Amino acid sequence: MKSPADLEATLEEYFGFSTFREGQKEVIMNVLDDKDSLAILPTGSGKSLCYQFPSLVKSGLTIVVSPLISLMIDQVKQMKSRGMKRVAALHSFLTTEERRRIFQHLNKYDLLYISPEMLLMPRMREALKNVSVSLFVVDEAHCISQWGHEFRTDYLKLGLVMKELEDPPLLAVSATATPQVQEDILFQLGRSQAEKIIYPMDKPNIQLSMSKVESEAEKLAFLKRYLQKQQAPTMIYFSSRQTAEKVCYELKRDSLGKIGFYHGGMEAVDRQLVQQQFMKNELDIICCTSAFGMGIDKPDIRLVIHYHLPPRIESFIQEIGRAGRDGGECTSLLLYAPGDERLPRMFIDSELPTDEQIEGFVFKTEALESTPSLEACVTLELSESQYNFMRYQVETANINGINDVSKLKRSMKQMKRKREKKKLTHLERMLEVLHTTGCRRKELYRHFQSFVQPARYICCDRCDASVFEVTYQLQRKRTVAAPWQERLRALLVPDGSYEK
Amino acid sequence: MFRYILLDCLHSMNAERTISGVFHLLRGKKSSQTFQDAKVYGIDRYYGIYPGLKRETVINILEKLEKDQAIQRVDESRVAVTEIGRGELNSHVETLHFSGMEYSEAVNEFQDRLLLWIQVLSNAVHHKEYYLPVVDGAAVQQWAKKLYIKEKKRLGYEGERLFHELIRILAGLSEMEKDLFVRRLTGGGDTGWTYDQLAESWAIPISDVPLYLKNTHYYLFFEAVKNPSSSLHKLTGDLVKKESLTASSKKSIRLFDEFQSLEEVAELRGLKTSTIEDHLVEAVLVDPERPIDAFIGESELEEIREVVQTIDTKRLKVIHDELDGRYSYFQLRMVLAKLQKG
Repeated sequence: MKSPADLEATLEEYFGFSTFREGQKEVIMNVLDDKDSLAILPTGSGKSLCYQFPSLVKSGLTIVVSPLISLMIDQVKQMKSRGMKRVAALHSFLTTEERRRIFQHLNKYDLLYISPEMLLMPRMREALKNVSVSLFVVDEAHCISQWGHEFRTDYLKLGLVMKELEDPPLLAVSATATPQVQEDILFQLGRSQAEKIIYPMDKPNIQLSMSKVESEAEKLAFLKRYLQKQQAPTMIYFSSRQTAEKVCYELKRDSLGKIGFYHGGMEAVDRQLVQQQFMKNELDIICCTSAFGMGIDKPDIRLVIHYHLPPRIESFIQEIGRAGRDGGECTSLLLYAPGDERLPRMFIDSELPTDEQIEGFVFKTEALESTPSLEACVTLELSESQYNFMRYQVETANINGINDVSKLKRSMKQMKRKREKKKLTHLERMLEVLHTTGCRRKELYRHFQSFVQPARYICCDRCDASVFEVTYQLQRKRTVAAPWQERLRALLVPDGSYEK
Repeated sequence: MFRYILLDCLHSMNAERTISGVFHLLRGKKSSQTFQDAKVYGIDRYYGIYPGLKRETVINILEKLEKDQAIQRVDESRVAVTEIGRGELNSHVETLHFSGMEYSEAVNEFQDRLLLWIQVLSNAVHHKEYYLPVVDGAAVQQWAKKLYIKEKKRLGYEGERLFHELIRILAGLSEMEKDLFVRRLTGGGDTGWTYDQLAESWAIPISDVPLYLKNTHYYLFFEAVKNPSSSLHKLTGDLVKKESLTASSKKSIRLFDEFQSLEEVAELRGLKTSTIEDHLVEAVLVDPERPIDAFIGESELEEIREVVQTIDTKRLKVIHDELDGRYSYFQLRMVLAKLQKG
């Protein structure tokens, strides 16, 4: 066991920080003592360090179950770029060759990111029997409760895998989990006795503001006026790729700074370039969808703007959490025009099947005497999540011995309405924050905690409308683009000539 | 540039193929239909040169071409190039280096390698130890790592050598192409530009940027291959011309040469007869010298050739009907493959 001073030395060596952020040390000490823990740490507090760090110190393999492939890839990239090489991510995007390479070297890794689907594969489980697993981490653990019943059904089987691995210590981490979700996470994992380490989610350094305008055009005009007064690292979130691009061009036309856009439809190198430009302050403003920001740790973002309404407060909290990670003053601005709730509503509709789709799916299941494949359901025009929802429902019904077709349909429709209601509740909560006449900070966090910390700057526009006048002026030195020969020289021969 | 290439493809295809055919060709779809289109219409150099092409982009440019009366709708999915369009094709001056059918995979890999290798070299000479690679993909990163270890002792020298070499080779390109290529690079303290940013700086359509870059990389690739002592040669050494036939096709062809029966090959391989037919057509597309007398006689071949030339089409249905259905589609495809372009 290392002494606390050693911990800080290791932190400095691998992560380049001299001290831990709030909460990190407590979680890490717990993990190093092999205690089961559930850690709820706010976005931007360095959650991943809570398992990355122990994986370096502990002997044996740390398994991190993570729901998002892009998140895994990003984190592995970041760890490698800091010189930690014994890490890997195992997911469905890898080629067979790449997978085999990881399979053969399981014993050599300190840390392995893995998707739940991959972890549950029989071959993987077999391979892991020969590996000593010293820590089992469930990242973004709220997925177990929030989504697990629908499309990440494999998440519900993690408890079983932990048993097979001879019950390694557990660390479940999340940034957004209501008390009810926290209980559910530990229940589903079969570790109800785990210690809960919960830090408040509210950021005292963020100032909340929301503005209702009359139309889409007025929204854009408001944004332009607002940005005219700002010069600082800024993120603007959109719920559609097209709008992100369109507004980006609009802002560029008005010369509101160096601006770029980022979304999942872009070519891979382009995405990498935009991200790096923003990290290095070569861009001031980034117009993006929620695809951006995953695993991005830029400390000095001052402004996070929402051009569209997020579908749930959890996403909102996560996204505004990217501002002011350095602890300095920062602002969140949400813009709302009438009808903005339509987009998230449509999104919810597309995630769950209609009654007709349920009828059709059950009919097909009957006819085929097995669960139909997604391809076999083309006529039903299902989205992947609609399909997954129904497949899971049918399969659980089989296990529970429900053979009666009308009963099955009835229970599926019921379940759908329940999920729909739940999703609409999430949206409703977002709207409550928007429409409240009271303090937005209290309204935003009340589902997660019973108090809010005092705001370090302005609390919100309900408490003090002058929040709209807050400006950030960080002058950046902009270099003029050099001719191509000079640029090429600067890249490859920066210090003049070498001796041959 | 995209506009030119699209127009050139449409012109070559002579309104006999749908727009989707062009789309698949440019994206490099691995299907026997696409392969056949590329060869029969003589546009195989464009095969797979635009893997990231989106349907919207094609639709967008088509609308513009139609507005400028460079093309005309034949029906919903096919267009013909007009006199104005042909004029536009003839006035095109840019030099194209594409050779997609044979090299698209090699050049794509080369492009990733070069981007990553310059980042590695540049960061080394700038003493930057930790950074995010601009190119994802385990294979290319593995490759860069190997080269890095090999060249570790002389990265500074390598950087300078590559600099001089690039200055020399790039001289063969237009000012814009040079600039686009260099601005795309990342390394040291400087991040490369996105397609969008490059398009803005030269006021060109964004859909042209990937093509200009690709064209440059074909050019650099062939220069590197030509010159084994060059610094760039290290990046191309193991990248070869694509195997013109898939392993599966090869197997079918070998078996056919042995047994001389489609049905037998199909049964032996557990594949449909039509698939074996595809493979045998491919064999002729790749090697027009390959005899086809097992499927069609000399005088019959002549008859079909005449029809193809008289009515000037490569549409199977039209040829089939013109010959009163006396030949199977498979026979006709064989003959078209044999005749190829011209």
